[in-house]
Amino acid sequence: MNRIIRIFIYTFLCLILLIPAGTPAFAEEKHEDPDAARMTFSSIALFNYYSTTLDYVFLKQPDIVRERMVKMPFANIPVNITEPVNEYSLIAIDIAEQVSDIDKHVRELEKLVDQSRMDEAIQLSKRLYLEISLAKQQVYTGIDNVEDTGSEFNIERLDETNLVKIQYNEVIDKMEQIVRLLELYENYILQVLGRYKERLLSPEQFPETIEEFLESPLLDLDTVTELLGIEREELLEELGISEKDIPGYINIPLDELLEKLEMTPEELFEELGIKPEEVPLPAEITLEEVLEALDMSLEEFVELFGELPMEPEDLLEMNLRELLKILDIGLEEFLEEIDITLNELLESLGISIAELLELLDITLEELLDAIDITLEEFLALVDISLEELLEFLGIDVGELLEILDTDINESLIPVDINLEIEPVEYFVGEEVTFTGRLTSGSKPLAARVITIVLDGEETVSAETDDEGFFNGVFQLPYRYVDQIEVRALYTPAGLDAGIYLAGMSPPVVLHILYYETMLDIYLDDEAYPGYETGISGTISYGENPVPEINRKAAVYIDDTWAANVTAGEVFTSQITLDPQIITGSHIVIVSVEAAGRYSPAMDTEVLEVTRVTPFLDVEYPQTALIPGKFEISGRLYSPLGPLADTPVKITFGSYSKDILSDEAGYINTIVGTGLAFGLIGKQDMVFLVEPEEPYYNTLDTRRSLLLINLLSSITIFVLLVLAGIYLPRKIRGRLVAARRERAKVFIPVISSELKSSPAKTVRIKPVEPEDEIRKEPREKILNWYILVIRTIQKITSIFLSPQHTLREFAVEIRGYLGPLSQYFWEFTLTVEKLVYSRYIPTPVDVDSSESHYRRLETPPEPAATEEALAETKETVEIEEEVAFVTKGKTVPYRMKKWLSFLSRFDVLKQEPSGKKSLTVDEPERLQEEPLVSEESEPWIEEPVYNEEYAEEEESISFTEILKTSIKPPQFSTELLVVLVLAIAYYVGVMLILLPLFWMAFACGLPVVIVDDKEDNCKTKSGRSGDFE
Amino acid sequence: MKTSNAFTITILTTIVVSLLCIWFYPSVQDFMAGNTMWNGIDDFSDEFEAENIDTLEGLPDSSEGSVLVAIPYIEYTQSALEFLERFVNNGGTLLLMDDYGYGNQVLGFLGLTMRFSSEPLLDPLFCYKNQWMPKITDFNEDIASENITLVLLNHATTLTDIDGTILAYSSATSFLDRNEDGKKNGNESEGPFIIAAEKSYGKGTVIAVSDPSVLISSMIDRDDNYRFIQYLLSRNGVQGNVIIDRSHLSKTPLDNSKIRLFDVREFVSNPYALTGVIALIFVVISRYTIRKGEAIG
Repeated sequence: MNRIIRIFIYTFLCLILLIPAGTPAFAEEKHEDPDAARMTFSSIALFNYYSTTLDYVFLKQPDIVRERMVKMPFANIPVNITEPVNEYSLIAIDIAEQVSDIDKHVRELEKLVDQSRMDEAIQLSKRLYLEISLAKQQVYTGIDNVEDTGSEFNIERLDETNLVKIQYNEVIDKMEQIVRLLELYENYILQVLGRYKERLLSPEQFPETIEEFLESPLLDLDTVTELLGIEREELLEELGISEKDIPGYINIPLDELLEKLEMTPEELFEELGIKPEEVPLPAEITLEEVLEALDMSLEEFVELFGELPMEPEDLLEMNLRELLKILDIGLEEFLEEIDITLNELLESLGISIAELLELLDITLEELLDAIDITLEEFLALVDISLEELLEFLGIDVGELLEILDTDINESLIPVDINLEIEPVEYFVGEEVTFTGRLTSGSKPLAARVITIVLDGEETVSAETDDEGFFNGVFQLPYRYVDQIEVRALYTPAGLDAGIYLAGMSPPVVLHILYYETMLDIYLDDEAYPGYETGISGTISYGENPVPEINRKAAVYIDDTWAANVTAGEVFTSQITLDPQIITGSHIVIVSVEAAGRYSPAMDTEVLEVTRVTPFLDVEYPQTALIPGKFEISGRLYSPLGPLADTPVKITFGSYSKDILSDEAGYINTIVGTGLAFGLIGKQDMVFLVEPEEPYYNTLDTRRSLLLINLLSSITIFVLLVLAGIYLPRKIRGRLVAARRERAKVFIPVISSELKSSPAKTVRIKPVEPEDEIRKEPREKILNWYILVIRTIQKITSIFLSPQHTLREFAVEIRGYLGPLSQYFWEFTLTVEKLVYSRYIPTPVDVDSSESHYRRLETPPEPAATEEALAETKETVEIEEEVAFVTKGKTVPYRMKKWLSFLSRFDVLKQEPSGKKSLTVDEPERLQEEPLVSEESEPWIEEPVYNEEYAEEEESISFTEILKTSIKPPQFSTELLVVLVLAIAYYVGVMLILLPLFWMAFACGLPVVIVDDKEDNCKTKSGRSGDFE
Repeated sequence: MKTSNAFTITILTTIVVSLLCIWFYPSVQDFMAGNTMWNGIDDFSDEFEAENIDTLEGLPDSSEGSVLVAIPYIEYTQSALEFLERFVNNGGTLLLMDDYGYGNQVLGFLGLTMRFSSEPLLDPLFCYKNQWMPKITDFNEDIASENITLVLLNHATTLTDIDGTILAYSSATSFLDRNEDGKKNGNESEGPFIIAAEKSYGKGTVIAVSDPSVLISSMIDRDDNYRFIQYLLSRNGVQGNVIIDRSHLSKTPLDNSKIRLFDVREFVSNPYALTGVIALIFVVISRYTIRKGEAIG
C-alpha cells in the first residue's frame, strides 16, 4: 500500500513539474527566432528588381531609380555579389540621370533650333554628344556588372526557360535598349540639326566655329572634368600636360612662331619685359648640342677656355649648368667667351613655345597678351586642327564635326538688334517705354516682330518700322526683385525663316523699386484644440509711406490654410484651431499679400498646442461615519472659464456617482458611505472630470477623508469587552492545566502481552472507585496504587522519576509517611509482583490492597493513634497551622486529615517565623529531572493521562502549596516569534499611518512655496488645510 | 506514517513545489513580459518601464500621455472595447500591434476604416535571412527625421484602407502571400504596402502597426526597431506611461498561474491582507502549540 502511495506521489510531482514546461500545441507561427532563421536568397527577386528599376530609366524618372537603388545595401544577397551589386546601384543611378539630362537637353535643342538660335543649338549639341558618349560607356559598364553578378549565380548553365535566366536576360535586354535609346538621341540630334545643317555654317564661318569650340564650355577644363567625373589633375595627367601648358598641345618651335610673328627673340623678350641675361637656360641642354647649334668644334671650344679640369670628350655629354659649374664661370661670361648672344643661342637650340613658357614660368595667355595677338590668330599661326585638339582630350565628337564640316553649303544671314530703355529705375508695376532697331548688316529690317523678354519670359511684342526701328511700352511685373534684365528678341518667321539667323539684343538692366513690407507676428503662449487662439502682429514699412488700405494676410498652420486676416499696421485676430489638431509644436505662417508697390511679407512662429487641465475646488467634511452620508460641493473651472455641464464621476470605495456641473461650474451632491468592514482610516474619494470639449484634459483628482465605521467599531468594542472578561479566566485555566499536566505521573502497566512484545503499549487510566466493581483484580490493584501514588506525590512533592523503581520510590518517601509507610511498602510489593511477573492476584491480595488503599487515602483519626497523639490542644494548633499553610484555601477533607496526621511526625518543618510548613528536601532536583520519559520505560510510547481526573483536580486549588516544586509555564518559541513579528508589524504600520493620520488633521502646518524668481514665501494652512 | 498524514504531506509538497515552479519557471509564451527568451517582451518591458495590466478596467481614467500597447490575440468583449475607446477618447494613445489577431475588431469598434489585411507580407529581396522577415526602409518625413532608416519585421501583415497618416511602407519587392506557398503568384499583390499608420481619435491617437513581433526580445534591438518603437511611444517627443494589455494575449496555463500568483502576492502585500495572513498564522500556530504545547515547549 505504501509503495502504491509513493508511486502515486512521485507521478503526481513529475506531472506538476512538467506542466509548466509545456507549450501549447496549437500555437500558430507569429514569428521566428531571427538568430535561428534559415537563410535564403532570391536571385529572381534581385534581377526582377534590376529590371523594374530600368523601367524608370525609360520613364526618365531618375529620382525613383535613385530611391530604389540606394536601398540595395539592405538587400538580402550573398556576400560574394555584394560588391557588384553596390557598383550596379551607382551605375544605374548615373544612367538614369544621364538619360534624363540628355532627354531634357534634346528638348532644349529642339526649341533652340525652332527659334533659329543656332549658336546656342550648336553649343548644346556639343554637350549632348559628350553626354551621350559618357552615358553609353556607363551602360556598357552596367552590362558587364550584371554579367558578373549572373556568373556568380552560374547563369550560363541555366536553361533559357529558367525563371532566373529569364529575369537576367530581361535586365540585359533593357540595358541594351538603353544603348539603342541613346543612339536614337544621336540620330535625333542629327535630324534636328540636319533640317538646318545647310544653314548652319559656311566655309567662312568654319574658323569662327572652331573658335567657338575652343571657347565653349565644352573645352573649359572645369566643365570637362565635371562631365567626365574625374579630377582636374587626373585629366591633365591623362593629357600629358601641365597647368602652364594649357593649351599645351601647341608645341611648335619658338623660332617658327617668331618667324610667323615676324618677331625676333629680342623683341619677344622685350615685349615680355625680360632681359636676355635673365632668360634661364634649360638644364638638359648638353655642350654637344650647344656646339652643334653654334657650329663649333670641340677643339675650338677647348682653345677658348684653355686647360680643362677633365677630358674634353667627357664634357660633351655634360649639360650646360654642370659645365658652367665645372668651368666656374657664369652664363654671361660663358656667352661672351663663345661670342654669342642668348637670343642666338635660343634660336639655334630650337626651343618650343611650351618649353619657353616653362622656362619663363608664364602661361600662354600671358604670352599672347605680351605679344598682342588673339587666340584665333595664334591658332591660325600654329595651324592646329580641332581633331587634334579633341584627340588630346579623348572626346569623340569628331563625327559631329565631320558632319558639320562636310554638309556646309549655305549660310544664314545674321541680324543685329539693339534695345534702349531710359531711365533704368522703375517701381514695380510701372510702365516702361522701350526703343530699338533691327538691322542685317547695314540694311534695316522692316515689319519684323520683336519680342521683349524680361528675365527669360516673353512679355510684349513690337513691330519694326521701315527703318527697322521699333518701340513700345510694357508693364513691369509685380516682381519684388532688385533688378530685371530686358532683351529684345528677333525670331525669323515666315519668309525670314531660313534666311536670317535669330538675334537677341544685349541686355538692359532695369533697377526695380518697391516699398518693403516687414511683418512681425505674435502668438498666444498656448493654444488649445477646437478653441480660439489669438494671432497679433505689426506691419511696418520703414521710412516708406504707409498704405491707405489694410493688407490682406493668410494664416497657415503647418502649411494648411487656417484663416484670412485683414491687417493694418497693428492687427489682432482670433482663429479657431482644428479640434483634431495634435498637441505639440506647430508652425504658424502669416503671409501678407503684395499690394501694388508694397512687397509681400511673411513671418513664422511656433505655436504650442496643448490641452487645459481643469481645476476642481471641493468642499467636503474631513470626517465621515459608516454608514452615513455627507455632502460634497465644489466648483470646476479653468483658465478658460468655468466648466459648465461637465460630467463628474465621484468614486468612493465601491460607491460611485455621476453628476453634472451647473452653468457656473458648481457641483453639489450627497454621497453615501455605504457599508464596509474597516474600522477607522483614510479613504480616497476620486473625482473624474471628463469634459467633452476638445481643449480640456480629463481630470483625475483625489481627496482623502477620515472614515469611522460605527458598526464595526461598536462590534469590535463589544467583542473586546467580552474577550476581556472571558479570556483571562480561560487563559488562566489553560495555564493551570498546562502546569498540572507537566506534573502528571504516568504509571506503566504491563500486561502479559507486553512482556512478550515490548513494542506494543497499553494505556491504563486510573479508574474511579465506583467503577472498581467492574474491573479485574489486577486492574483494581493497580488503579488503587496509582491513586495512592498521586496522593503521595501531591502531598510530598516527590515524584516518581524515570530512574525510580517502585521500590526505590517507596523507600524514598518512607520518611514522609511515618507509620503509614508500612502500608505503602506492602502495597508496593504487591504491585511489584503484578507488574514485573505473571503473578495473578488472589482475592486476598485484592482485599489487602484495598485495605492499603483505604488506609493511605483515608488516614486514621488522630484520636485513634494514641501512642502518637494524646492531647487535643496540640491537634487544634496543628489544624491552625495547616490552615496557614493552605492560606485559607478550601482543602478536601481527606487532605486536611493527611496534613494533620503527617504534622505529628515532623513532616511539616518549623519556619523562622515559628510557623510550620510543608517542605521539600530537594526541590531543584524535582525541577531538573523529567517526570516521566519514554526512555525510562521504552515500551511506553505515548503515555496519556486522565483528562477528567485533571479537571477534577482543578477545584482542589492545591497550587499554592506545590508552586515551589513545579516548573513555571513555558510558551512555545514559535508563538513568541509570531507575537513579536505581529507587534513589530503593527508598530511599523502605525509609524506610517500615524503621520498620515496626522496629516489628515494638518491644520496649521507650514506650507513653503518655492518660486524660482521670487523670494520664498511662507504661509500657514487653515483649519481645513487650505492655504492662500 | 499514517495514510492521512502521507496525503497531507503530499498535497502540501505539491502545492509548494507547484508554487515554486510557477514562480521561477520562465514563461515561454509569445509576448509575455515574464518570458526572458527570444519571443518574450521582457526587454521591452524593462527598457520602457512598461506596466502590465490583466484587465482593461485597470486603464487610467486620465489617459493623457499614456500609451497602451495592445496585441489583440484574444477577442475583445464589449466592455473591453468600451474601455479602450474611453482610454483613447480621453487623450491616450492606443498602439495596436497585430498581425493575425483581432485588431480589426478594435478598429471597427472605433469606427476607423483602416484594417489589418491578415495576409502574410513577404519580401524576397529586402529581408533579413528570409522573406518572412521583411526590412522596412520607407518612412514618412517625421520618422525619417528621427534617423530611423531600417525596421525589421517578422511574419508581418499589412494595413489597408488607411484614413490617417501613413508612417511606414514595405518595399516594392514585397508581396502578399495569399495562398501562403512562399512564392509570388500571379494574383498576389505587389508592394509597397503600408505597415504602420496613425489616426487621431477623440483626444487621443490610434496607431496601428501590422506586426507586434518588433517588440520581442530578439527583434527589439535589430536595426532601428528600438528607435521606431520609441518614436511610436513618444508622442510629441515625450515618452508617456507605457501600459501593456496582457489580457488579450494567448497564454499557457503557466502564464495564467503566474498571473494569479502575482495577483495573490499583490493582494497579500496589501496591509490589510498581510494583517489577515499574520493573524491566520498566529491562530494556526497558537492552536498547534496549545495542542502540542508540552511536546514543543
